Amino acid sequence: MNAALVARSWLVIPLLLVLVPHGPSLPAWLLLAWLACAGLSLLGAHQGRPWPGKALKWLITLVGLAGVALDYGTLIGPAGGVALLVFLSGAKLLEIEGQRDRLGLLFVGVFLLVAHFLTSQSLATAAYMALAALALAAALIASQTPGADLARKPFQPLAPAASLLGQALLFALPLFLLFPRIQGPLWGLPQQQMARSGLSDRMAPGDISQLIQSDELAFRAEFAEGEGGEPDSRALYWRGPVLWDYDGRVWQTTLPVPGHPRGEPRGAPRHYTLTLEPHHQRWLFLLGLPDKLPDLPSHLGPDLQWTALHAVDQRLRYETGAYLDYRLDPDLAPEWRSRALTLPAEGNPRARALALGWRQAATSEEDIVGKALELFRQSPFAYTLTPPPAGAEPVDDFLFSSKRGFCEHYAGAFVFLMRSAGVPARVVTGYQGGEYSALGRYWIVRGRDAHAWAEAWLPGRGWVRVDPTAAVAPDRVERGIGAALPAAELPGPMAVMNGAWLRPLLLGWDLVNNQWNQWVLGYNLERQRKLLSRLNPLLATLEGSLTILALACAGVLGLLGLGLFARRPPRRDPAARAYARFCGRLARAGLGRGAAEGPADFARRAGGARPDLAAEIGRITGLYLAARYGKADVGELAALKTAVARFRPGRRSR
Amino acid sequence: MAGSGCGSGSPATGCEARAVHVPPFRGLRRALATRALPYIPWRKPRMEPGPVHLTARRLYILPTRGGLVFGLLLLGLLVGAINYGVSLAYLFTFWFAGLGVVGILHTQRNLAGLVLRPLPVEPVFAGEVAEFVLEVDLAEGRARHRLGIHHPGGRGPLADVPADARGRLRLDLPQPARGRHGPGRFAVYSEYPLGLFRCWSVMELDWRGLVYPAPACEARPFPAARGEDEGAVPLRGEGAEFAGLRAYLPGDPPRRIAWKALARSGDRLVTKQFSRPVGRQLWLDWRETGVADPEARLSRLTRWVLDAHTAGLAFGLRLPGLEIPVQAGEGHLRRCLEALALQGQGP
Repeated sequence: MNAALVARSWLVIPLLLVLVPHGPSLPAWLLLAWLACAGLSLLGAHQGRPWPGKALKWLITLVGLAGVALDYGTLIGPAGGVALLVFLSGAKLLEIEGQRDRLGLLFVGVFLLVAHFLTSQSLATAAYMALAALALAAALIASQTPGADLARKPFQPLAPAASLLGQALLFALPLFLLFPRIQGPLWGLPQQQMARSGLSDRMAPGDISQLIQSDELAFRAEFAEGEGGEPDSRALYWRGPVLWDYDGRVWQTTLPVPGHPRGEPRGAPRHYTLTLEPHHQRWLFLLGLPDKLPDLPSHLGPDLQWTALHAVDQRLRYETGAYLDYRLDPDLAPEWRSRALTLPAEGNPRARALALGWRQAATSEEDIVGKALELFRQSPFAYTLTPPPAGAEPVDDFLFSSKRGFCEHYAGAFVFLMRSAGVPARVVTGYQGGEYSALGRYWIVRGRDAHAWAEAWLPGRGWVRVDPTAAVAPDRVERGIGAALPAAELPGPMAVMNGAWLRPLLLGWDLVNNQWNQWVLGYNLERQRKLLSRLNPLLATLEGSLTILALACAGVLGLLGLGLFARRPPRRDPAARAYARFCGRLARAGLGRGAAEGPADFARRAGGARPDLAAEIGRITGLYLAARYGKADVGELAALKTAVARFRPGRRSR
Repeated sequence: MAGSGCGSGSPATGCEARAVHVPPFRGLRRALATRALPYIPWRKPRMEPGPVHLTARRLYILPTRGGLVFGLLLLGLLVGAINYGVSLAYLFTFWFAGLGVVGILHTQRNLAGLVLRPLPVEPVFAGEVAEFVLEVDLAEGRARHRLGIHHPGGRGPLADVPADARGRLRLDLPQPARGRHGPGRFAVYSEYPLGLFRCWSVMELDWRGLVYPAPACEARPFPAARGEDEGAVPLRGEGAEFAGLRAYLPGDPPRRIAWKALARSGDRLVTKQFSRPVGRQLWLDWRETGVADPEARLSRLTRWVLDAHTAGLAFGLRLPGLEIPVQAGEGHLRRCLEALALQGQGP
């Protein structure tokens, strides 16, 4: 094969491997330009043609720079910088002149490889990038290999590259574990426009039913052991945004809710660790009344709505405890009471009338709540993802004509009814339940577990959770969304999830991912401290970790050096071994061979000293010389071995 | 060797006026090239006689320019990993850093344990390129890759040594002056496998090759025989007997060209050769070169020695303080050329 083409392929293919994951985030023109450059480069190498002229190269470079600048508005920063490097690497492929150019391109490959982890850090990405790293290391070796050798064995650099990377991993692991982790950005991170996901701070009809169709992971939660087993999934109401204000269509919280919660816990708290996937919003999720909040820059409002000060752009892990049984706000301040009773001045007259009727007939607030739940339970309400579109009077339409809706319809209508009847109430959104992975002993909460419920304030009891959906579709709370929805409405991924044979596989895969998230991706200052202090409390300081890091690296270096430089005993020729045995026997008989004495000379001297053995010594020496230096002959070697084995000089009797 | 007289197309003989190209900043370049053989100042390489065993003690290793850039790149990636808090960026940055560190070991391992044996250097004429060859012997059986000699005067080609075999490292050095010359201080180096580090060992071997004087360009008649026969010997006449024909060499006097032979063969020039009658001895004498400059005299004598040898003549050589009796043959030629090369330079 053409040597230049093979050498060029060893640049183009590793770079291409690194670029592929970047592909989806790059504009199509850039990818096409890169591929065109790579193709031209390979063609040029194949035909041995000169590179395009200097003017053309400048033109290509300038056009590319302008293109990236126009497309991204910048040439720096994570997105623009990567695009620029991708383009430049393509253009550079057109003018590779020497070792320096090749190294430079491979270094760009290394940079792009690591830069991709800003976008994705999944296990699959890591595995793929490990392959790309192998290709890059092999390309480094290939750039050191003469073209003729490469052309003969194009894949030859792969084996040494794999061995080098394997040894490099021995360094990488202690460095990864022990290198002092520095928390927080060194400089201001650029504001990235990230698509928000998960729950939002407003609830309009149809919002949650969209979320419910996604299989996207919201968070995982692991309950501490020794606190009475796993909790009942029916009790797992993961609180997110609490919505106070209704404008006739949308529930949201328009004004901030200042202050702190006033709650009275009952019973013992349940402790859990929650690992929240980045959703690029500020909600943090919790169960019930928290006992002690983790040390996060955040705020817990009086309505138990917990918000972080910054959007959650990275996977966030926190440990906290929750009282599942508690009393919140036994006395409701007047301003909260009035806010929890506010409704738009008009609209939905039938619902208001119904609620007023309940108010007049009821003896207590509990009674009114019971009436509402009874309505949902007895009328033919259906739980569906595809309700008819809301009209001008959404609550009336839902309650009296369509009677088909989703949890946001039930929760919204319920709070509307309560407020109309004079019972303070609010909407709470969040997640309900989750999937329990017995394999990993944690709960997996996904978009499809999104839920909306209501809280009503009852005198003497404070805020009480009421879930009207449970009245309509008890399966929703007991067995999850998959059981509550008609089979035809199940979104694709969920239908698959219900296939019994796949479940263990999927749960196993989730467990692997969770471990990956916890131990590799979530390995931060805190985890490092914890790990080190488990080894020895002295190590959990900066000096300690640096010391053990230095020791570990020196140890790895020493072991590797020993392994690499150990002198393997030279394998001696079998004839030489036999002859050495023969010499040893003669030496024991008092006839040592001089250091500089050749075999023939030694035979002459020994034969002179021991005429009785002279013939045998001469024969063995002859066989040895023939076997060692003559033409290779198995017969002579065998004869030599038997002759030496039989050779017993013994001391000369005087 | 004998055929490498002037005019054989070799630019090294100095016969053609060569435009000497002096690159800009030659001094600076030379200084940089010499600096590329760094060693610890208090462990100056000593002159060594024989085979050199490359132990770890005499190996140096430093990053190449590419290696330094790689280091900077890793530093940048680490800062990025810290700033964005990306765990996998830490992991892969450390992995690549580990690759560099392991590369150090492997680069050193590529040179460690080698035994380098200088091979005898073939003599050349001044102005030609001498070929210095080191034989590489593997103390251990591993194959070695991309070994080369680095010398202030240039680098030799890179060579591989297969497992359980011997290899050769070559260094070509132009030799401007006659005498006995060696490469001086040089380094054996390798950047294998990654090209990020260069490992080298500086050495100075007692390893010299003979450089004969450059033969004079112009062919001149041999000096008149002296001693027993007085007077000049004509090139053609009763004194000399026709001895045969040989291929024309540029510089042969036109009157010795066999024009008849040319007419017969058509395209090839042939020169007539004459041998001296027995009893008339050819002495090539330092005093009879017709030039004054000692180096020019040596050049002239070299040319005569070569011409005489080519013509199959027996000749003697007289130099200040040295007389080589009249003789013929390859060994005699070597002896004479060596005497010319070392004239006035001690043994």
